[in-house]
Amino acid sequence: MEKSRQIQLVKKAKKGDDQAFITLCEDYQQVIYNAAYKLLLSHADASDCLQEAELKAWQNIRSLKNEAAFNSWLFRIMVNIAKSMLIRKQKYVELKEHHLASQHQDTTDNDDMQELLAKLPDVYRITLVLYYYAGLSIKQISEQERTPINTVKTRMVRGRKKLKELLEEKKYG
Amino acid sequence: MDEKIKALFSSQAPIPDDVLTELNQNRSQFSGIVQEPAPHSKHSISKKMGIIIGLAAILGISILLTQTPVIAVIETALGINQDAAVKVVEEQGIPTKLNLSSVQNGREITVTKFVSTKQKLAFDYQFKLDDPTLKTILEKTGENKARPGNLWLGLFADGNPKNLFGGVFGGNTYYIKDGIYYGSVNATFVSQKIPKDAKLTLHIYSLDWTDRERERAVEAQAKSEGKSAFSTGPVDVKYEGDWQFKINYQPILTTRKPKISKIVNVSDISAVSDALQTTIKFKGPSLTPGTTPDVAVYRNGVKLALHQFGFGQKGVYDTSFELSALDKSKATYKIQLIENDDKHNGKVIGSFELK
Repeated sequence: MEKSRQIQLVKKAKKGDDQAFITLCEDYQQVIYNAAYKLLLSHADASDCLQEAELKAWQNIRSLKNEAAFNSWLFRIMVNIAKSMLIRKQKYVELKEHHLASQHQDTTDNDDMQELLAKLPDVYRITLVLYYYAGLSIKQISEQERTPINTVKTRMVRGRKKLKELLEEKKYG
Repeated sequence: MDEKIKALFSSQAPIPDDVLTELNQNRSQFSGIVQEPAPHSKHSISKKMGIIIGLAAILGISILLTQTPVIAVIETALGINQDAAVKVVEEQGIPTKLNLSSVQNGREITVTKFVSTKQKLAFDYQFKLDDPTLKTILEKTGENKARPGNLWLGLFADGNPKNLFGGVFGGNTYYIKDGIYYGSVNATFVSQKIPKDAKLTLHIYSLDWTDRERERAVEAQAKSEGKSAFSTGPVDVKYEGDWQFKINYQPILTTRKPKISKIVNVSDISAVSDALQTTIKFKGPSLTPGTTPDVAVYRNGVKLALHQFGFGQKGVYDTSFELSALDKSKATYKIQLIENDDKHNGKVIGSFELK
């Protein structure tokens, strides 16, 4: 999307123009949805995450000072929600108890990408998705994750190493 | 190898149609949702506007239920009134009972209770358990005890062709007695989707169950092979159709602001109760680098299952729990903000109480 058009749409959205905001969401939905899916590895969870992110963005868009940064702002909101969902999910899996009644439980999602990413610990997967998919720099990831740069670097190295091992296993396994 | 990693992360898949439908439904609600004011104008807003904004803040996020004493109770209990807020609604004499039946493919389902606010609903349903396969699955006990059936639901308001039941997570429980399957559904929407003055039609499109014993065997096999991703394959029992229930019902609109006290290390707290839940929002202190936040809520010292937990920019957190606006009890709710390290060791970094 052209930045000038984005800025115009964000200004309109700040004045309560929901159609302008929906246009912004539609323009970035492909990228942000795919990022959410790579983090959460479930279409149902990615859908809920994106819905929540858009809702929060709509409610808080007046606090966005730099209209040209709408896409990265929405992305940050999505990542925070995804992390919150992962924390909850981890507890859920660990406890193996109550039934989760999502309307879209896609437990059969099992393509190659999902299988590999599912084997990566969340902390590495988030870092690698932000770096490789979202194109954030190490410094930007550090800011996003409120984590020291060296920690991000360590996670990158360990995540890549683990992923390489998984790819090798897949190749020769 | 680096190229392979890049390729792995750069791949993009089209958004599934049903997800797009849900996104569009969610977006269609935006016009009715009040936006927060810009930070610099906060002091100039009127008290009335503040109340409206506070109400808007009760919009929630996805629900993931965690195991707590409360959930353990619900799992073995009977019906929607095991939700503390629903129980309060019933104690106040607000009618919830219905007797609406629908038959599809020779199977009759009856909805026996329904209650809602603009953002949350709960209903009880039942059907005769005459399917030997399902009976076998549901009679298993211990670790093989079946989970509640998955339901595919629809909710329509008269005159509106859009399915309101998108973007919903919820709790789903059941019990069996005298050859009858008694199910309960408890669902919170991501926004206030239930219209205040419309005739609603609830649809059940499908119900399905998976044999927990078979599922556990697949899990164990995957674990022994070191796989963390696996599929349990098709469900074992599935009923499909379009069971419809016309519910002439108006959501309970009562809201209240609980009293906030004993604030430690958090600020900008808002708390709003409707008849079926209380939604809170607050700002917490900076987290220690490398930790992740969590929120815990205790009712008179007993930890509750949180249906929602979100955290956004600038350390703002929100969640909701089963405190009804109609609750006249003097129970105290303690809310704790916790930071977890990589090993999930939690440390309380802020708290407050509600009454």
